Amino acid sequence: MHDRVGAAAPSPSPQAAVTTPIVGIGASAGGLEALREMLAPARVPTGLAFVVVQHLDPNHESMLAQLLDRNTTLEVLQCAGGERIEADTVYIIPPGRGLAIREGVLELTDFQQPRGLRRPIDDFFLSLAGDQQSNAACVILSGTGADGTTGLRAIKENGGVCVVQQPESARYDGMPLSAVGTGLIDFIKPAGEILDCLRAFFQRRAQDGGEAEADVVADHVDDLCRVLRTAIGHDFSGYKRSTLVRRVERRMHVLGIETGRAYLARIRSDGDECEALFRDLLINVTRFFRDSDAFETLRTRVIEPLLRDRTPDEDLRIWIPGCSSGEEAYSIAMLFAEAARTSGQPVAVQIFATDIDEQMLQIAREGVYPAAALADLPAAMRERYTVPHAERFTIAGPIRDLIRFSNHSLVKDPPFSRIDLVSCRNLLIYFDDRLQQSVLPLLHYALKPGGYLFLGPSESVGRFEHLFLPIDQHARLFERAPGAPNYPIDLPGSTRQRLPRRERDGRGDGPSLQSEGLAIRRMVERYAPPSLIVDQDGGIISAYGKLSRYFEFPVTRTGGSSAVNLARPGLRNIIGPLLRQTRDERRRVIARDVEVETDYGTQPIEVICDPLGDGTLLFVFRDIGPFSPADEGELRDLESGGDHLEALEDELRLTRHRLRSAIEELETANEELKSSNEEMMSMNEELQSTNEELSTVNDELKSKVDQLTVANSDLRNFYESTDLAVVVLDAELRVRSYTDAATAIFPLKPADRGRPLTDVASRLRDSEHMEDARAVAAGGPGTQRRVTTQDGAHVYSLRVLPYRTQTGKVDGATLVLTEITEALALERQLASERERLDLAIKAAGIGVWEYCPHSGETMLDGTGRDLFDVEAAAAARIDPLMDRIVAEDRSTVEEALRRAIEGDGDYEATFRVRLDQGGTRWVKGFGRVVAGSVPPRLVGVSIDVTPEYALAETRDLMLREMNHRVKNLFAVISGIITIAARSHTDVRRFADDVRNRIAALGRAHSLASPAGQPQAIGLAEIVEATIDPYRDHARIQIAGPNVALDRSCLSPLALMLHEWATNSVKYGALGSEGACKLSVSWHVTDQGLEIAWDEERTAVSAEPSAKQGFGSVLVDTSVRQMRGSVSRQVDDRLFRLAVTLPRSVLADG
Amino acid sequence: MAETVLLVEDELFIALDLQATIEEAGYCVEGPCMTLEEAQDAIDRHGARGLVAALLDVRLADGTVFPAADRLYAHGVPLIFHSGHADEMELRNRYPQAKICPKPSAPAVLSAAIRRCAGGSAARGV
Repeated sequence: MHDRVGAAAPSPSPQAAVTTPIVGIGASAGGLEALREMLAPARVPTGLAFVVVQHLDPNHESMLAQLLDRNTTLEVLQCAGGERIEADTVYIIPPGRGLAIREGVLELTDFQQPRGLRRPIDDFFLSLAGDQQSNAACVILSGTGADGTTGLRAIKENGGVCVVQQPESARYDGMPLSAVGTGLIDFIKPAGEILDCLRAFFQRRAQDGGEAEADVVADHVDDLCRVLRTAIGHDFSGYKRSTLVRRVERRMHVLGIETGRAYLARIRSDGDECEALFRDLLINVTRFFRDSDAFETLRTRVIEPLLRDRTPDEDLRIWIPGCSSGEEAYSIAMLFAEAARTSGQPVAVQIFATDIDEQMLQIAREGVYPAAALADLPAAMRERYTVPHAERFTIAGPIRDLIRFSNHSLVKDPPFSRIDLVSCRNLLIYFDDRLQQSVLPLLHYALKPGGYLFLGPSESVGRFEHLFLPIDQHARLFERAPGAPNYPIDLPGSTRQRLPRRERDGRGDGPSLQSEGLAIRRMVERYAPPSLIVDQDGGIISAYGKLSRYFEFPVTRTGGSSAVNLARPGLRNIIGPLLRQTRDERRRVIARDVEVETDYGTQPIEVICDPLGDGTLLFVFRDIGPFSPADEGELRDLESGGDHLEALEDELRLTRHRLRSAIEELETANEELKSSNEEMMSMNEELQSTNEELSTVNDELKSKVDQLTVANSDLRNFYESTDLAVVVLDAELRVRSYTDAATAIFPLKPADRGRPLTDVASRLRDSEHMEDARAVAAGGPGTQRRVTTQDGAHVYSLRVLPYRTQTGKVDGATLVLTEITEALALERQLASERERLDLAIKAAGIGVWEYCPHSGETMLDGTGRDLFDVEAAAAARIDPLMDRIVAEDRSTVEEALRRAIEGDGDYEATFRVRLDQGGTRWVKGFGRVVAGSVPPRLVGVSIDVTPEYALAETRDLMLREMNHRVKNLFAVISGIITIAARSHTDVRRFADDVRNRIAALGRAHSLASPAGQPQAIGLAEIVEATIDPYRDHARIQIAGPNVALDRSCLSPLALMLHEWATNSVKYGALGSEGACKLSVSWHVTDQGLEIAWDEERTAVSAEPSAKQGFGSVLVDTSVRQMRGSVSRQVDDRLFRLAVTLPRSVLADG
Repeated sequence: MAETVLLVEDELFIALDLQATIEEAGYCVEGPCMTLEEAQDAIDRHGARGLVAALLDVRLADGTVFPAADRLYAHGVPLIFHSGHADEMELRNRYPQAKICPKPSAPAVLSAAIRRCAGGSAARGV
């Protein structure tokens, strides 16, 4: 029936306004375009979060996120599971997975159904509705099939809002149309306007304080109910006010209507809105075995006893009003089936499940439920009574056959009767007190004595305790109290007459109105003539007074509540014509003298039929005579009169009934076809959406290919032109690509691409490169090594680097070979060069240094440190080095350094270094600022120049000595000249004499080395040098030991010997033309040196002896100079000169 | 009696030349002394006052002439150094009043120097 206005649907909680609404978007074929259109106008902040569920090919990586990202300012992510939903973000379902949401966090789920049966949009919407309640919204975009339709119902049940793309604007209108078909859609918009629409809706909702408006709405609820009843035929005035107000408010948010009055006006003028409100009001929630404890009690206390005690020939009759989508009915059917199975009895049960929502009944008849609902079923039932498919399951045929689903209103339609169990759960809670009070007697009527009533956990029988005795208060199980089945003539939702009264009710004048109502009811029941209201086909709508005399109650199922059918013989054939005539003529018609035949006799009556204007008809029965007991003869006549008509009508009813079941079967078959068609469509749809995506991707790929072509040709040019030998291997070490230069090492041909590198010959000596490649391809770090070719002629530097894909994954290795043969040769050459240089520097005793003036740091090599006579520690800074320099030289060095640093030429300085063991060392330094060094840095060398300095000093000394000697010689010559001048008068002689002496001196001096190194001069040499010019003049004998003379006596000795030789030439042997003999001999004594000059003289010549001649003066002076003494002996022709010289003339003396 | 000039020169040929020069200038010659020892003896013999001047070579076989020169200088005997060594500075520092004639010097120069010294000394002596 009607009822179940979202039992569990909570009112929007206060914080719902501040949390981000989550919009689930379902799309399929044509969805990409629609999504782009929908999300493109998004302007951050939207205050909304979006989850896109698109049918995707599970085998194909989706580009949807990338494609969408370019079209919207919102952030677009492909969902990976675990994301907490954030505003202004679009989450996209990944391919091959389902999506669910729990406490605002997205979860990936695995599909249990095969492709084609999956309904990811429904699944997500269900999960979204459960998690976000009224904070959820769903959008259904282009697509074929009907995915999303079930889900949107869940969204609505929980107070969310539903938007559908305008079917005409969708490329594929299957999904939108199916959604629109539910009548639950709040908005139908072109894709581009959906976002604004949603924003506006949630903004309105956030702004409304709620309460003030609720009052406003509450004021108009009655009017609304009235309009609804007129338009739809269902009266909601007995429903709970709070629920009604909430539902109406929701509609107002959808429509953007702010006042109850405005909505009332809208609903009056807009039939579609009436329908929409009706749908909203019927939204319901139900489950299998809801409150399992209560069901267990039901099983033990009711179902099993019922089966045990039933009358063998009769089926048990169960009525489930408000069955909704059938879960409760199937639950009870299963319980009966299970109980029957365990007790070994046949399942003799008929279950009537009724509701007023045809769509729900449709679902119930189908008996197909989401697999998730299986969890609610006890395991035993699950196996036995369900047939699982991939994502759904169906109820087993035997169970399905126990139940008849039909459209029937508990409030409006006459009740079933002789029922063993009524299960009316969670229905009364939607009714207000008054409606509940009318419904309970009705249920009492429906139940046979001893029958059971099963209510929802928060429902009670109220003040009808006398009608229902509690069996189990907790499970809300009641037994019908014994007592007359009091037919509730006053069907609560039936008559128009009660409208004025209800209006008064609505104005809130409670108690008095109620008593008035009671009065009228009592009056009708007791004092008015029995009467009946039927519809145009004779179906009883309501009944008043004691009608049992004219009708057979209760109704049976097959007979329905047809007045014609129920009328007793006699009346039966009157009612049909009477009804037709009244209906056609629209006037009151009376049938007089009708004799109603009962089991006990005949009652003459007259029947008035009064058209009420809205299609219903009022029958009033008035007795016009006394009851006459049965008369057999009469009875027969009358019966025969009605038989034919009755048979015809029976046949018609039967035929109708058959027709109905045939139609039902057809519909079922049709449903099946529809669902398989849908499967096909959804497969097709997946393909469609994939195709769309692919064509979009294709466009992009085209431009990427262009870019790639350029990049590729760049790469090819690089490969062909580079001298680098590069080989790229994949993870299996197969050749992926290589450069031309690589063919010098690996003779690769284009056909070798894809072959393992190990198969390719290599000119390398060993295969270390393969080991490296293997290690690197396995994820090891890059390596570098030196490899040589087999002939050893080439050396390469081999670098093996990981080949990384764009995602950073290692997928192979890159071998880079650089020829370093020449570099190595150069290196060797440099090394030997350097070695030579080092050797040279070492050999030369050159100290190398560096100096950084900025920091004062210095660096000296070993020789440098030795030169400065410092330890390594002291050589690291300039100051200790400066300390080593002799103080006078320090400023020179500093100045030279400063100039060099300032760029004023190179540094050059010579200075003395103090030595620890005493003395100094002369050091010369050269240096130069390294070009371009910042801060400036000096590099240079130091050389020990002490020997050079010593040499220079010596030379100096010697020069002075030479100078002195030369001057001395000049003085001697000057002296000789002076002496000669005294004894000569003839200038020519004078000059000859002097020249001869000077020449003798010169000869003697030529013996003395100019460097003066040998201070000693051999006596023999002097003698020989003196005699030499006269060698042929005489027989000359020279004899004596080797005697070295001090050089100071060179000049006097030479002069002395010269005088002697000159005299000899003049007077002695040397002038004898070889006739005479000359002997010069010497020997060393203790006193000194004695030299003897012995010669033969041819004649005693007249030597001027007395007078001191020039020559003798020279001899005397010379001997004096040498502190010696001279003696002269003449013995006949023998002439002897002897000179004795002190030891001081000896060089070693 | 002619005034006496002390001649110290270790090279006899030079000494002879110098002696001749001094004698030609009109003075008697004490020496020539060839060593420091001989020079000291000559000074002892004559007494510083007996000398009007001294013509001295610096380097002698047994050392420099300075000890003798100091004695003479202390007694105010005019000194003429006749040296081939170039250490004039030392000589000037040590004997600011002395005359220095680099060896070899022309006889005329020496004669003039001796006369000037001896002349000044003679005047003082008288």
